[in-house]
Parts: sequence; structure tokens; C-alpha cells
Amino acid sequence: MRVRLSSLLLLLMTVVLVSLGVPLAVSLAASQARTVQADRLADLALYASLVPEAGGRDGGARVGTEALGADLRRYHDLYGIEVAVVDAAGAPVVWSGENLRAALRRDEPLTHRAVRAALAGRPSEGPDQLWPWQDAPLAAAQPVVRDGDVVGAVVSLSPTGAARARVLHRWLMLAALETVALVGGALLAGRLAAWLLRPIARLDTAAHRIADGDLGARVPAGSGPPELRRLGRSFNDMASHVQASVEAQRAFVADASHQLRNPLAALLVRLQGLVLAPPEQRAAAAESAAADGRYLADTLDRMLELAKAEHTAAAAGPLDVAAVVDERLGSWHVVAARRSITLRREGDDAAPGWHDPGALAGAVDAVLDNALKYSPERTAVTVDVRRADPPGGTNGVTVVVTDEGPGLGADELSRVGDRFWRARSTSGEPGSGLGMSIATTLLERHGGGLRVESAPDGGLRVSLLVPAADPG
Amino acid sequence: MRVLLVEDDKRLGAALADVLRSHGISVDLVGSAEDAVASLRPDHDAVVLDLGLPDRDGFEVCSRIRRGSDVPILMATARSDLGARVHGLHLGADDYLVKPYDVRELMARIHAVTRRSRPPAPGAAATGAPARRPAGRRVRRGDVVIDVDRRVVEVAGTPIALTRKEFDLLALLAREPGVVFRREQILSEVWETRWRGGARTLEVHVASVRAKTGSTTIIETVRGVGYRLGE
Repeated sequence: MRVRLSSLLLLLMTVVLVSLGVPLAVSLAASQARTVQADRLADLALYASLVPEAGGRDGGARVGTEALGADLRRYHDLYGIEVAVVDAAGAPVVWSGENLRAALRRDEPLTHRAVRAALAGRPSEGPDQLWPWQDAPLAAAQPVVRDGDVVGAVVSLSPTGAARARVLHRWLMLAALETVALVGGALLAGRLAAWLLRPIARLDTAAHRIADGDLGARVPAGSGPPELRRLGRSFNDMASHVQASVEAQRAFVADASHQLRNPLAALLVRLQGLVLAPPEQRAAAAESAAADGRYLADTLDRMLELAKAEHTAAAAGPLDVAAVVDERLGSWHVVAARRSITLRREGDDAAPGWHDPGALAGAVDAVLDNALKYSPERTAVTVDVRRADPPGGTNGVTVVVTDEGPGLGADELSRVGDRFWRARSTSGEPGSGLGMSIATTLLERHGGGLRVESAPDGGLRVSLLVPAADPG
Repeated sequence: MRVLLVEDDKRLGAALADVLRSHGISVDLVGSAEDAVASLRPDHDAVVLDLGLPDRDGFEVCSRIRRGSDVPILMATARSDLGARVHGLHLGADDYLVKPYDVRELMARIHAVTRRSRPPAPGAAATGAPARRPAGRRVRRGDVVIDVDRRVVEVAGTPIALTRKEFDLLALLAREPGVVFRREQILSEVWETRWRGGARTLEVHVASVRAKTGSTTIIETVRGVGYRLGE
């Protein structure tokens, strides 16, 4: 890319040099043309004033033109420029050389314009530019005016070789200067490209290292344009996220394999024992094995649920916590009634809060599931919804679920949120130890939380905390 | 044979207990360290202990049992838990099994670990050392008396002639009366071979022992698994 960048810069430079150089070259050619033209016209003006009065064809006039003719011839010899005088009709009267005379007599295009202009009373106009490749001689003419009338013209025909050589010489100088500028520009372009690309090279290195497995690689903060510096920071953020995600996955897999081991061992043992069962007991033995298999599948499902809970992100918004709780209670009443457990609802009728309704409902479900599972029959589970106090304040909304079950010991309380951890008294009860963990994850996602304490009369008190407003 | 099984996972514990019982082993299943220490009895032939008990209970059970008894302890650990295995061995366990269990391996190790501790020294009872089940020197089943040390089998008082293999087979089954011996174990111990095709030979020998002892119940067939000494 460095080559491409340098080439681009070089191309731009070339365009600029060309768009400046060409008009300059043209101007150089024009300037020479003007110089030559002015020079010729000045000489012609001098001779125009020397042309004797047209008068009679007496001896005086003849002597005048002869003298003028000699001057012209001398001028021609000296400078190589032919000069002639023409009368008002354009016919040559005095001349220094045959070429010009012939051209004038035949009114060739070479001299035509100049003569016409002069006979009209104006000095002739020369070419706009003197191009090195045009070797046509330059024709110039000045009018001869007597008493306000144009009586003739003085015409010159000059080679332009020297002037053209000068133009060419200047053009070559210009080209040389531009080439030097281009070379210098090329060097600068190279260094500029390198400076621009250094942060990209560093980004590339970091990306390579990460791809090779070094998840800790980062782009060093540093020089370069601000956009690229920002890119570096964004890259680092992304790399950190990727690293955290990979670590979380590893931890999860380690967790899962550890806890799937026992249910899987139970299933395998049952299957191996199947062959020992007498035929009449085989069906029952197979059913036991199937039950263990289903338990294994359930544990897997809960684990997947937890994984999803940790990684899907639904938006939070204002909601009524009490309404969500009441909606869930409607479903749980059935389960509670089946086990003769009383579900009591206390507290505020409405409690505005800020969370994702789906996540909150999931957390409420997990906590209620727990409470009902470990409550003995004919006991009560109380759900107390308290709105934020003061409203919108930092305390948030609390939903307190209290049961009258066996509760937890002090040492167990601290572990209740640990993934897969289940209290000693529960081994063997259906349940994967993931419920509280799921509830915690769901609540914490938008700034909420979960607290577990022992209830005064022995059961468990679980508090779901929901922020009152957007924590920002 | 009687085994104390210490496993806190109820499903796994139930599955293990069932399969051990179907091999003719009596099982006492407990789920925690305290229960394990409280339930240990002198007539337990071995302890099968899950080292993955919560809160390092497994190690605690191991050392507390070892402090008061020399009952063989077989520990079960996760495959990757080398550190735990070594620590358990240091604390007094005799052997280990890797989860998930292979029932053949479980049975083989239980036999191996109980075989080592048999028989107690003649004076052990006098010194009050914990006694396990009686050494299988003379086992009686109905009319049949098997004297393992003297290598004599008597039917109604009369010695009968058994080939060496036939006697070894009967003596093996008599070592743990009632316990199902898997076919591959019998072939390994009596015929010293891993050749699975020896099942036919085994059947023939079993039939021969039944005929010579005149009892069809002396050796009981357990379909699909192996044989045991009958009632």
C-alpha cells in the first residue's frame, strides 16, 4: 500500500507540475515572440522615417531611395533580415534581397497580412507564440506616413532561428527544474506514506499476533493521524472483548464438564447394569437409565439457558416491576396449589423501574422456582414488591421472596450464586444449581442485582433489585 | 461381601448401589462425610469413596476412616484430577477409579483391594483388631464342603476328585460366597488368559463341577455376566 500511496502523491504532484508548467512554457514562447516582434518593429519604424518623400521622379528622389537601398542591404548583410519598402499599392519600391521582393510582388501569404496591416496604418501583429518547431520567417511591417496619409510601408522578413533556440533553451530549463521538483517530491511522498502507514503496520502486527493465539496483543498508542489512533483504540477494545469472551467460554466449558460428569457416570453405570437385570426387571432398569439420561439433558438445557442469558442483549426500558411480578405469579399459582403452598403477594401495586421485561421475568421465575421447590407442603411463600424510595432514587425497586423452607447455613449463603453449586440438603432433588446464577446474571445485565439472606424464622429471603431509572 | 459407598450425588449413588447389589455385594450408601464415619462397620470389606464430595469432604472421610480402621479404601476421582488422586493416596486410600465408572473395572478393583487384605492373621481376633468377614477356608453349601487350604472338596463327607481347574474355579467362587464373578475375571484368574473365547471352556468346567458334586445349585449362573457360589 505504501507504493500505491506514494504513487498517488506522485501523480498529484505531476498533475500540478504539468498544469503549472505548460502555461509557463507557452508564456515563455509568447514572451520571445513579443520581444522579437517589438525589435523588428522598432527597426522598421526607424527606416520608415528615413523613406524619402514621394515626389517627382527627379534625381533627388532617386538618390534618396538609392541611399536607403544601400542602408537596407547593409542591414540585411549585418543581421540577415531582409527589408523592403513598398508603395501604397504594396508593390516593392526598394528592397534588400530578392526573396522579399518576390514575395511582395506576388503578394504571398507570408507577407500579406503584415503589408495589409501596415498599409492600413497600423504596425503589423506578430505571431502569439514562437514555437521552436515553426521555422517560418517572421514578417513585420510599419506604415510610412506623410502628411497624415499612408504612402507606403516598410516590410521586414526575419529568420526566427535564434529566438526559437532561446525558447527551446528555456523550456529545457523548465523541464529540468520540474524534474528536480518531482524527484524531491517522490522522496517526500515516500516518507509521508510511511508515516501514514506506520499505525496500520502496527495494527497489522497486533491482528496477526491475536490470530496466532496471543489474545493479549494490543496496538500501542502512538503517532499517526487522529483517525488511525482512534482505530487503534477501537481495535484494542475489540481485542479485549474477544479475549474476555474466550475466557468466559473456557470457564463455562470447564464448569460444565465438571458438573456433567456425575449425571453421565450415573447413566453409564445404569446402562452397564442393565445387562445384569433379570429379564422381568429390564424394563424398570431401562426406565431408570432413561430418567438419568433426561436429567442429563435437562442440565444441559439449563446450561445453555445460562449461556444465552449471559450473551443475548435486549434493551432495557421503563417498566412496572409489580406488573411483571404479578404476571409471573399468575403462572406459579398453579404449581403452588399443587403442592398446597400458599403464594402471598404483598407491598405496592405499582413500582416503576428500569430493566428488560424478559430478563426480569426470567429472574422472577428462577427465584420463585427455587422457593417453591424447597418449601415444604402447606407453608407459605411471600412476594413483597416495594417501589423505589424516594421515587427515581438510587435505592431502586426491590422484590423480596421469602420462603419457610430449610434455608441455608451461613457458609452456604455466600455460595448460593455460584454456578452449579447446590446446598447439601438438595442433592438428588431435580435441579441443576443454575437457577440463582441465571437470575443474578439476568438482573445484573441492566444494573440490577440479587441478594440472599436467611429469613428470621429459618427460611430463605431472596431480594431482587431493579434500578428505578436508567443507571446511564 | 459388604461395601460402604460414599457418594453425595443421589442418582449416581443409587445407580452404583444397584449395580453392586446385582453382583451380590451388600451396599450401604451414604452421602456425606459425617454419615460415612458414623456408618463404617467392622464387617465392611471395602469403602468406595467419591473424592469429589463438596468442600473437600472426600479427603476428610479418607483420613478419618484411615485413622480408625485399615479397611481398604477405593477412591473415585475425575480423570484430570491427578493432584487429588495423589493426595488421596497419601491420606490412606488404597487404589483409585476414574469417573465415569466402568463396572468391570469397579468390580475388578474391589476384588483386588479386598484380596490383599485377606485373610487376617490368626491372632487378629485376640488382639481385637477389627475383623472382617471370615476367611474362606472352609465353605459349606448343603452337602458340599470346600476346604480351600487343603484343596479338598467333600460331598457328604466323601472327597471327590476335581481337576485342578475345576477346583480353582470352585475355590474362586467360594472366596466371596454370593458375589457374582464376571466371566472375564474367572478366565483371568483361573485360566490366566484374556482370551474371550474361553467362555465355552468355562461352561464345560461349570457343568463338570455340577455333575461331580451332584448339585446343580452349587454354582449359579448369572445370565450375561458370570457365575457365583449358590445358596
